[in-house]
Amino acid sequence: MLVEEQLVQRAVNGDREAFTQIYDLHFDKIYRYIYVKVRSQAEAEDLTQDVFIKAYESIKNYKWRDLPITAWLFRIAHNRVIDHVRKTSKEKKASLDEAGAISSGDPVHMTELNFEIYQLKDALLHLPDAQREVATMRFISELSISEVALSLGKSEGTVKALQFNAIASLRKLLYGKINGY
Amino acid sequence: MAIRIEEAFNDCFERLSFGESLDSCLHSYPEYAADLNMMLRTVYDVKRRAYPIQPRPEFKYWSRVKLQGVQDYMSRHAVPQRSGSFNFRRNLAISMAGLLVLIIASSGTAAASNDALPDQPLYGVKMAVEQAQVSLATSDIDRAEIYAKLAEKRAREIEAMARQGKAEYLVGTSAKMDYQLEQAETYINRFQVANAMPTETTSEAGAAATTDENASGQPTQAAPQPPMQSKPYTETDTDQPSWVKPIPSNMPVKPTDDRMGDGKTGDVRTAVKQPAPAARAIANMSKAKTALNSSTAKSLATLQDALDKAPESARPAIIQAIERMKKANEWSQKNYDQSPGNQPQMIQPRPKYEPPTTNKPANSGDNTDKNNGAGNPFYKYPDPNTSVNPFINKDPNTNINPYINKDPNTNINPTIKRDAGTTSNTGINTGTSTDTIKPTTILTDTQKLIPSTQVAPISTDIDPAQRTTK
Repeated sequence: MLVEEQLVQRAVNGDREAFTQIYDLHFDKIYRYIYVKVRSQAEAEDLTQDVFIKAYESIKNYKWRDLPITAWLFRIAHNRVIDHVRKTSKEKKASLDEAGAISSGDPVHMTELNFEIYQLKDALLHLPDAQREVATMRFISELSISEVALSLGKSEGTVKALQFNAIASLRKLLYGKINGY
Repeated sequence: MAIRIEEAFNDCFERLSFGESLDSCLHSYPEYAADLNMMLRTVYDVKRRAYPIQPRPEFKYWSRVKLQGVQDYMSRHAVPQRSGSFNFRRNLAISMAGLLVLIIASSGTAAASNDALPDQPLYGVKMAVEQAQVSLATSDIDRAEIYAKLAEKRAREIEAMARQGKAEYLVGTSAKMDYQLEQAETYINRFQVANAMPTETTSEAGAAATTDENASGQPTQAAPQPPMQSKPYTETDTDQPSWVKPIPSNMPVKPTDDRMGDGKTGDVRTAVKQPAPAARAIANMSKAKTALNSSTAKSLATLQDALDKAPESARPAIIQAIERMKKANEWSQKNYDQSPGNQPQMIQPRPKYEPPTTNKPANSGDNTDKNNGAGNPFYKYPDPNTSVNPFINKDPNTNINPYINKDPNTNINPTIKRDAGTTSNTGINTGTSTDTIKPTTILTDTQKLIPSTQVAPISTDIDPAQRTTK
C-alpha cells in the first residue's frame, strides 16, 4: 500500500492528524485551481476552505479504490466552484485589482504580476470547458495525467489531446496566431 | 507507427518537469521539433504566469485553525452512524416496489393480466406483479403463503392450457409450479428453524430427575432457553395448535439454572408463561402450513381434472406435473401433518423431482442431472414425448447434439470448425491445420506442450498434469 493511501486510510478511520497532513499536501493545488476560476482572491479563499471542510465531513465515506484522494478533492472543488459560479453569474466581472498574487512589496512588480495573471485567467475563460479544466489541473495545479483523467472521468489519451489543444488555444489567445497554432 | 504530436508534447512536458533541457527533448522528436518548441515555450509562460498564484500564508494558517475548530466541533457533536443505512435502503426499495405494485395493480393492465396464460402477451406483466408481491412480503411466512398461492395459480394455468390443447407450454409452467412449491416449503422451514419451534415438553419425571441431580451436589449448567420454549406445554393450553403433541412423560429434561437463587433448580418452562409473540409465531406457521397443504391438495385436484379434459398430446406433461405434485403433497403431509399425534420436527428438504428416465439415451447430457437446475423456473425439462431437451440434448434422429456433441462418424463438432484430419479445433491451431490462422499467433501454452498430431479438443482431452506443466 502506498504511503498516501495509508495516510488516507488513517483519515478515513478518524485520525485528525492524518487529515491535516492531507490538507497540507493538497491545499495549495486546490487553491490555485479555484483561484483561476473565480473572480477574486476572497472568493477563492472561501471556496478553498469550504472544500476541505466538506472533505472532512465526507471522508468517512471515502474509498480509495473508487478514486484517489487527489481526484476526489478536485471533484469536490469542481462541484463547489460550479455551485458558486451559478450563484454569482449575474454579478459584475472581476476587475484587475482583484487579481491578487503574493505581495512582493514592489507596487510596479505587483501590478505587472497581477496583469499577467489577469491575462491568463481571461485566456482560460475563453477556452472550451474541457480544455480549461485540463489546462487548469495540469499546468496550474500541476496534477499528473492520470490524476486529471480520474478527476474528469476521461481517458489519459483524451486528456493528452485536450491539453495539447488547450496550449495551442492559449498560445493564440495570449500572443495571437503564430504558425498555425 | 509514428508517435502522435500530443504524445510527444506530453512526453517532453514531463521530461522538462524532471529537469531535462528543451533541446534534448526536441532532439527526440525532430519531426515535431518546431511545433513542440513553440508549444513548450507557451507552457513555460503559462506556468510562469501562474506561479505567483499562492494562498496567502495568513489565510493558510487561519484556514487550518478553522478546520481544527470544525474537527473539534464534530468530535464533540458526533452524530452516531446510522447502523441501519442498509435497512433504510432496503426499506426504500420495498417502498418503491410497493408503489410500483400499487401503480401497476391500479391499472387495467394488471387487472387484465391476472387471467393471462403463458401464451398471452400479458403473462409477463402477471409474472412481474407476482414477483413484486413476493418482494413486498415482510416475513418468511408471508412469502411461503404467497408462493403456495402462486403454485396453485400455476396448476390452474396448466389446467387451462391443457384444455386448449397447448401442450408446449405445460412443461415450463409445471416447472414454475414445482419451483414455487419448493420456495414455500423452504420459507416455512426457515421460519421454523429461526424460531426454534418446541420439540420437548415438561414432565414430572424430568423435573424429578433434575431435582435429584441438584440434590446430589452436581453443578448445574444453565441451559440456554430458546425463545419458543419459555412456556410450558399443556394439553389444555389454548395457545398451542391442536397438532402439537406432548412429549412422553419418560423423556428426559435438561437441567436448568437456579434462577430463584435458592439453590433449587427446576425447569423454568413450568414457571414462566409463554410470551404472546411465541404463540403468534406458532399460529403463523400453522397458518402457512395449512395454506401449503391446501394449495397442494387443490392443485392436485385441478391437475387431475385437467388430465381428464386434456387432449392426448398434453397428457404426458400433465401426468408429469401430477407426479411432481403428488410427491410434493406426500412430503408436505409427512412433514406438516397437523394431526394431534404428530410431533413437530425439523423439516427435511424434499427430494428433488426427477422426471422418468426410461427413454433417456445414455450420455445424452440432458438436464435430469441432479446438479442441473432443479428448482429453477427456467429449467427446461425434456420434452416428455421425446425425452429430448431441444436446448441441450441430442437430435434424436442423428444422435448429435449440434451444440456440444461430435458427429459420431467424423468425431467433429459441426459448430466448431475443425481440421478433420487431426480432429483438432482449428481455433487452437496445432500446426497441421489447413486453417488460415497462423499457428504461432494463437497457439496456447498448453497446446505447445502437446505434439501436433496428438492434440485433442482442448476442453476434454488434455492431461491435467500437462496443464500445470510449464
